[in-house]
Amino acid sequence: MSSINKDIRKTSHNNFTVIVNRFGVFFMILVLAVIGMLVSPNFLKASNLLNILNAVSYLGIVAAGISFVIYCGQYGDLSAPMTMATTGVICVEFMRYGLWYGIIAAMITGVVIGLLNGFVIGKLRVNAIIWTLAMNFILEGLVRWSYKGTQIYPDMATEKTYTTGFFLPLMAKLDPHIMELDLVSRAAEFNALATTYPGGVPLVLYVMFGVMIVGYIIMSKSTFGNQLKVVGSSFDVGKMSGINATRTVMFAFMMSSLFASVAGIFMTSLNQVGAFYIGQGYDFQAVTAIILGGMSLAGGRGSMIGVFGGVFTLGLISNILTLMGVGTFTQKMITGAIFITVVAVNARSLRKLGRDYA
Amino acid sequence: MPDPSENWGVTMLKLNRELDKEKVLGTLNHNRIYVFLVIVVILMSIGAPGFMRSSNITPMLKTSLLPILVGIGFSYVMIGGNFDLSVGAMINVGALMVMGEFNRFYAIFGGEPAGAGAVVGAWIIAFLIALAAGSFFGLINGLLVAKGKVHSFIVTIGMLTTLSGFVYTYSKGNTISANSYLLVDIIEKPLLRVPYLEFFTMRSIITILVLVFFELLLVKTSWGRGLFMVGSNKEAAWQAGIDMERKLIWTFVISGFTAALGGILFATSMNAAVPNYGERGINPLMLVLASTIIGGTVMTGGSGSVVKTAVAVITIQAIFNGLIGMGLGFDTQVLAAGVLLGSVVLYEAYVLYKQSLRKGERPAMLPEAEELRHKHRA
Repeated sequence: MSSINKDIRKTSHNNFTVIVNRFGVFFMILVLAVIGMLVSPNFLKASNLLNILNAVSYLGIVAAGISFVIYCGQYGDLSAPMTMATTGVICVEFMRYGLWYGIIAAMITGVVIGLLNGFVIGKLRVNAIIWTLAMNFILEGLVRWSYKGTQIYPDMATEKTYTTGFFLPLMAKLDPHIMELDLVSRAAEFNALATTYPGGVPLVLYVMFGVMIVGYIIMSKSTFGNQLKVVGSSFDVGKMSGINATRTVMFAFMMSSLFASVAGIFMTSLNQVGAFYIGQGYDFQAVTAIILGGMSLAGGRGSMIGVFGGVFTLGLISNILTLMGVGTFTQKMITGAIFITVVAVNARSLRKLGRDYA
Repeated sequence: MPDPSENWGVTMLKLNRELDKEKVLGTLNHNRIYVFLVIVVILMSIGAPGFMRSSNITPMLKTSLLPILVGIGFSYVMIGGNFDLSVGAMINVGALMVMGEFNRFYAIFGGEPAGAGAVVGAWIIAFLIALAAGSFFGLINGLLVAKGKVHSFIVTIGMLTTLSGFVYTYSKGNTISANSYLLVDIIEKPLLRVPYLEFFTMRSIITILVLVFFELLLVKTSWGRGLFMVGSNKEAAWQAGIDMERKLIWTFVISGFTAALGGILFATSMNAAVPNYGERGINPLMLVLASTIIGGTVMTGGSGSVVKTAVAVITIQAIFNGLIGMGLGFDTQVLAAGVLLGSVVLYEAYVLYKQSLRKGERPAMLPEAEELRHKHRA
C-alpha cells in the first residue's frame, strides 16, 4: 500500500543516464566556468558574474513560466514574446494612473491571455504550437493595429495616439482628462524599475529568484505540481485518475503568461518604450534553456533547478563568446547548434530509458 | 397500434436525408477554400474600387508566388504529421546564397568582360548551390526528426535560430545584390503583353510547374498515397510495410528545397537579397501556416493538398490587397491575418473536438442497424 501513497516525483532509477539528465547541465556549467577562466582573467570577478545573471534574468522569468507548460507536456508557449509586448504596452498605458495600476493591469492581461490559451489547448486539445503561434500573431496584429505600428513612450502622449486605434480612444472616451495626467514623474518611476539596484543587485534579479522559488514550490512540492506531472506524462491517464486535466493545462498556461507579463513589464521599463517587438526571440531562448536544463519535451520530467541551470548556461555561453570576441550573429548560430546537439543527445539518452520522442 | 413498417420507412428516410446532408456539408467543407476565394473576390471587388483591374491583380498574384512555393513543402511536412518552423530562415538561405554565390563565381569566370557565358554559368552554379543548401538543411531536420526521434518543433526552431545566425554571418548583415542584370530581365518579363495575362513570367511558370509536379507526386503516385498513410496512422503505415522514416526525411528535404527555391526566385526577381526578410512586415511563416490550415491540411497530419494551400495563399493575398484598396493600413493586414489564422485553427479544433466526442460511432452503419432492429421486431 505504501507504494500508492509514495510521492511519484521521488521515484528514481540509479542509472547513469538519469544522472546525466538531471545534473548534466551543472556539469556543463562547470566546464564552461573552466573555459571562461582560461579565456579571461576577468571572468570570475563578482561584477562579471552579476552581469551574466543580470543579462539572463529576463530570460529566467520567461523560462520559469514556460517550463510549466513543458512540464505539462505541451511543447511550449510561442505566444510569450507578444505576451511580453502586449503586457508592456498595457502597463505603459495604465501606469499614468500610478505604477501599481500599470503592473496589476499588465498582470491581469497576462492571466487572461494565459487562460485563453489554456482553455483552447486544454479543452479543445489543439496542438499547443499552432495555437500559441496563432495567438502570437493575433496579439501582434492587435498591438500594431491599436498603435498604428508606432511605439509608445511612457513619458509622452500625443494627440495622434488618442484618435487612432482601439485601446487609447476607448480610454480617452472613458476618462476625458487622460491627457492632463502628470506623465513625466510617473514615467520616471516606471523607467526606474529596471535600473534600481537594491543592495547592489538589480531588482529584476530578485524578481527572477522569487519567481523561480515560487515555481519550484508549486512544481515540486505542492499537490498541484504532482497533478501537473501526471497530466504532463499522459493527458488521458491524468483524466482517468480523476484530475481535472483541462484546469491543470489552463493553470500551466496561465503561469506561463503571468511570468511572461512580469518579464514584459521589466523589459518595457528597460527599453523605456512599449512596442510590438519587445521580447522577440524569447520563446526560443526560453525553450532552449529549459531543454538544456534537463526538462523533457515529453512532459512530466525535470525541475525548476534545472531550468535555472539552463538559463545560467545560456548566459555563460554568451558571456564567454563575447569575451572571446565573437559577434552576435555567430553567437546565435553557435547557440542554435549547441541546442540541436543537446536535444539530440537528450533524445538518445531518453530512448535508452525506454521513452520515445524527447 | 401504428404500423411498424411505416415507422421504419420514415426513420430510414430521415436517416438518409441526414446522411445526405452530412455528405453535402462534408464536400463543401472539403472544398471550402474555393468557396472562400470566390466570396473574398466578390466582397473585395465590391468594397475596394479597382480590385479587379489587371494592374492590381497581376502584382497581387506575383506576391503570392513566394508563399505558394514555401507552402508546398510546408504542406508536405504537415501531411506527414510534423511542422517545419524553419521555412522563414530557409527562404533567406536560398535568397542570400544564390546572390552571394553568383557574385563569387561571376568574378571567378571573369566578370563583365567574359560576356554572357560567364553570367549563365555562374547563375546555374549559384542556383544549384543554393538549392543544395536548402535541401541539405532540410535533410538535417529530417534526420533529427525521423532517426533521432526529436520532436519536429524543437528541431526546426533550433534550425531557425542557427540559420538566421548563419545568414547574417554569411551576408555580414548587408544586402547582397547580383552584379549582373541579365537574369532579372528574363525572369520578370511578361511573356504576353495582354491584360490579366501579364502575370505569366518565367518565374510564375516555374512556380506553377513545381506546384503541379508536387501535387501529382502527392495524389497520383503510391509514394504520395503512402505519405498520407504515414501522417494519419504511423502504426498502420509501418504494418503496411511503408518506410516511414525515409518518407518523413523526404518531406523535410522537400520543404527545404521549395523554401530555398522560393527565396531564390524572389531574390532573382528583385536582383537583391536581404538577411532580414520576414522580420519586419508579415512573417512568411504566419502566411504559410495560415494558408496551409485554411487550405484544409489537417493539423494532425494525414490529409491535405498542395494546390489548396496555393489557393489559400492567393485568397489571403486577395484579402490583404483588398484591405489596402479600402484604405486600411499595413497594421490592419497583420491583424486580419492573425485573426483569420486564429479563427480557422479554432474552427478546425472544434470540429476535431466534436469528432473525438463521437469516436466509435458509425453513422453510416445506422440504417443497417435500424433495418436489423426492424426485422427483429417483425
